[in-house]
Amino acid sequence: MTEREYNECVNTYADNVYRFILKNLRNEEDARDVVQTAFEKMWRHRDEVDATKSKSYLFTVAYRQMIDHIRKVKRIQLKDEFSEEAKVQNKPANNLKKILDEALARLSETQRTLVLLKDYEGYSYEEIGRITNLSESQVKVYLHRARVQLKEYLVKVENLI
Amino acid sequence: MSKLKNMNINRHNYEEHFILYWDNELTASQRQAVENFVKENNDLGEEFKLLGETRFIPESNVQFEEKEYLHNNSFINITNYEEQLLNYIDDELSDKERKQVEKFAANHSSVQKELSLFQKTRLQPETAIVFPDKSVLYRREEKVRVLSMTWFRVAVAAAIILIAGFATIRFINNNKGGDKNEVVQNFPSNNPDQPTTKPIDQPESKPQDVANTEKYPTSSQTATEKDDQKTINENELVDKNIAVNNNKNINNLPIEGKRTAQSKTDPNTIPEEDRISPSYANLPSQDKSMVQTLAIEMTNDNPFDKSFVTNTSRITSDNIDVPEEAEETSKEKGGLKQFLRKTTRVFERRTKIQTTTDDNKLLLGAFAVSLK
Repeated sequence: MTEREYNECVNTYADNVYRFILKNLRNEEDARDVVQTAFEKMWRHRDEVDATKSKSYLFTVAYRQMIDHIRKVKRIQLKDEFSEEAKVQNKPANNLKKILDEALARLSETQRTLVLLKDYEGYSYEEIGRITNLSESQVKVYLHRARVQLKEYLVKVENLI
Repeated sequence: MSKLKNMNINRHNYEEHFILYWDNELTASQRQAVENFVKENNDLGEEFKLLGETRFIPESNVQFEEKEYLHNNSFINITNYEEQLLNYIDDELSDKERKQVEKFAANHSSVQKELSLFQKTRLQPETAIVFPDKSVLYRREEKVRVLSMTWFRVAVAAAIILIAGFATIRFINNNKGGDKNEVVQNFPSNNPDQPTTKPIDQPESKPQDVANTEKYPTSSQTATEKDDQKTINENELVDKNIAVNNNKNINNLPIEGKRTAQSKTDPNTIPEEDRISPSYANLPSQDKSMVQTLAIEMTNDNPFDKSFVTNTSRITSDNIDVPEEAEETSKEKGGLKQFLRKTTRVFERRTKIQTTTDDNKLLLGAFAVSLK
């Protein structure tokens, strides 16, 4: 991967990675740090990175970085997450996007990651498996469960309205 | 049932027998007994019929459509349709499979409803979310240009530096030499400012005083030779010395003697000197100061020759001596400073690189060298 290819990669994928990480972490500053570190790593290993696979390399590095970050700050974040969930329950949103965001927030970290990789980036089960270090069938099972959960949440909220 | 066999149907227990009858739970004889009982009690016939009507009779028009979906080996069926819907949503199916799912959903309204619900769970990327400052992510191959240096290159670089150094030293030395020549050559031309030596002297001295008039040209000619320069200067200084001394006392013989010894005088010298000295003596009273200014001019013209300065300081009074030397050294420093400043400006213009940082720090050696 050349300097030019790296910088093109920044132009093409920086927003995608940032979106993916931000949706997972729900903290702009942390998301920016993770993305920046991921790009730094890619720059350092640019000699080993195939330019055609730069996107999945980037997502893999960013995902691992994010997991590390979550592990580091888990105790601190736990409180915030609870309060956020409480808020969600108090104020049922009335448009689909909001409802979906709430539903997404209720998924487990892994499920959320899988759904985002699938819906945002359109990765196949196989590719998602490579990024998250899961088997294809595991990805399938987790993703299906997540999807059913999302659907049930939608039905529940729609019934409430 | 065995109980019922022995039991008589009466007006108290007939209901149970009626239900059992319609549920087809009785033997043929029991059925007959129930029928006989209804016949005997006409008023209960209505109730018996009513119970019979509550039975649900299968509607023949209700049929299970597309029974193939019930086969376990089919791609999508009633037991696995959810998984296929999810695969469909996740875009993991081939075109043929997708069509089958669409057909299945179209035939089952409940499945269709479920599919549309699953489609709603698909998240749309929020394009509004963008990475705030991409400039922090861009990278350049090398921030500082690193020259890889083999021993050969190092040797070449060292040679260039040495040559440049020698050239600079030579250049400075040549400049000094040029100044010296200038002084000597300018010396006669200083005479217009100093009418005392030549212009006055020449008209007074008659054409036959060729020796005297020739003396200056010869001195300026020889001045081109470096080695002679000093002695000539000294000669001329001695002339001035004489002039100064002549103001004090005319016919200062020891000086004359000294002069004759130095310049290997011909017999004309002494009369010449005599002729000259009156001319000095005839000068206005400002002459002494003029001689001093001459000395100062000489030192100014020749800022590098210290021995010369000491010579002039011998001639001129001590109070002039000190400021002159100071002036000289400051000039020398100023010259060097100017030279550096000029170099800096040229460097800045050529390379468009600031030689100082924002906080006014001078940058030295702003390049890196890597030795492989």
